[in-house]
Amino acid sequence: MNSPLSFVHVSKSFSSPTGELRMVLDDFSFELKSGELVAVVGPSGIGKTTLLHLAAGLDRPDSGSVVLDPSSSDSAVGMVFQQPRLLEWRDVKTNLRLATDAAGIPAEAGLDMLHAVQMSDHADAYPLSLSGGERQRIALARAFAIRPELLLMDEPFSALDELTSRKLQLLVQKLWLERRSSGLIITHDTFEAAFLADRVVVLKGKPCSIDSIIDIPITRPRMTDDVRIFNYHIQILDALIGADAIKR
Amino acid sequence: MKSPRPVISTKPTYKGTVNASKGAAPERPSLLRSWQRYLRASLLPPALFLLGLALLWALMARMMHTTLMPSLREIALEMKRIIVNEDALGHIGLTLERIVLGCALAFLISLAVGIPAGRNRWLEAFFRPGIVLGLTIPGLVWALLCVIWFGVNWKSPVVALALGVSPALTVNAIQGVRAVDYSLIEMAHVFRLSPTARLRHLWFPAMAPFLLSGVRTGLSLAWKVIVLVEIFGMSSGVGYELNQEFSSQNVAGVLAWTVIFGGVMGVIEYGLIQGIERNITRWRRRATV
Repeated sequence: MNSPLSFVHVSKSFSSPTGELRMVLDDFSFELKSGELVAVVGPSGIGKTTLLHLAAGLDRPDSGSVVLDPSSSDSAVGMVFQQPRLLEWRDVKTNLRLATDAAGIPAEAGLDMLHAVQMSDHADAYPLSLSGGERQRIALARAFAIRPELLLMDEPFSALDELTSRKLQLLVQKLWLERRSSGLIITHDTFEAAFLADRVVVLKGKPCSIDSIIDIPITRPRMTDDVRIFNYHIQILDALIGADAIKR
Repeated sequence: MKSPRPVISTKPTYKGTVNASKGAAPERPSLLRSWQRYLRASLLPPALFLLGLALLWALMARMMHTTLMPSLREIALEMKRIIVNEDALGHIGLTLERIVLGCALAFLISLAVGIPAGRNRWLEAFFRPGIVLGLTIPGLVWALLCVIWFGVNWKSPVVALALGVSPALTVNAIQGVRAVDYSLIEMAHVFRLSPTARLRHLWFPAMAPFLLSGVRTGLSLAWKVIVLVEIFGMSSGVGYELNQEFSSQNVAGVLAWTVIFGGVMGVIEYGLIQGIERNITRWRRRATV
């Protein structure tokens, strides 16, 4: 089976405001397995979002390649951003319909997803009238509505309070169980990584490389009070502290 | 040695309820109250200003007592004569038709230049001299040149207006493009929105305040240019009639035409432009109530 996403010897650098060239990725390789959800954690500014932008086609590597499954359909990528990124001047159902139309999927799929994220009553509302958590629910509905074969999430709950964040993690798990795609989630929350992911990739150094990969072989549905999740959360946290301490 | 870790309770307590009323359609205020609020907030201030202006004029006309500064009554009588005897509506209609055609052409030019220039610094630098030149050339020059180039026909006012108005509109279009949130452009890219959907649902709504501001500026500039073209090269329209009144030294007639056409432009501003503005920004009111 083809990998839904592969980074093959990818290098990427950016110019700093002072004109200095800063290499973020150097000969980076990683392969996502079909049907798995991988969380990427690492110290701030290490290049996690760069990885996601390369996967989403928002950026191009200087060398190497980012390969999406060639057998997947054209509209195979869904994304949940740190901010909901909804069109404020369009109501909720139009925001979803634009995504489903572009993916060639019936608009009903969007309304079904609204129901799944418990936002059916807000189909006619404008995003500005909703709370941050509600808007992020809509963003989740939009990403899942297009039936993505690859789901990308960029710190999707980091701007929310902890309670809302936990609710949405449970929601993502529920949707994940229903839809079964492959996914990559960038997060700073090690509990979130342990709770949602099948594997957790810990990044280190500059340019970044993989410090360790932690498998989380816990079957879904997972419970937030499962002590094994808590233990993995601590293990990831330890690896992260170790990665952060590495001299750059 | 690792430090002792705190014991964290992670009991699930996630029985969140969604406030079903939030975001739902709010209770609508009565039509009468909406109208009262609209009259008080939008029509009363300009009405008071115009009343003050008329009183000031009346005072000056009384103090100076000269035919060069006719009284309000003389201007009103001239307006009545123009409306009853001079086919005012026909002339105003012709002038408005030319303004609409010229502004529509200017709008298309400004979008064709402004959108790419707003997205690309090189293109903006390329077009910048043309925009600056266009902004500095007086409407009189375009009026004269177009009458010379195209003669006495409909092309002169339309092209003169397009040339005179498009630089200011282009500046607004460039600012509008720059104001579009880049994160939404990224979202549209990831979800593969079609070019038509991006234009209709992302670019135009995001640029709308700037485009409307441009249309306002364009209309005021258009009025100044069209009068000149009609004075120099047309045998109809408000500018032509103004010139006729000027030739016969009828100051009250000149002022009467000015007031009549000013009134028409006021109706366009308060009736049409503000109506469009209310329509395209209604999402903001619905979202914030």
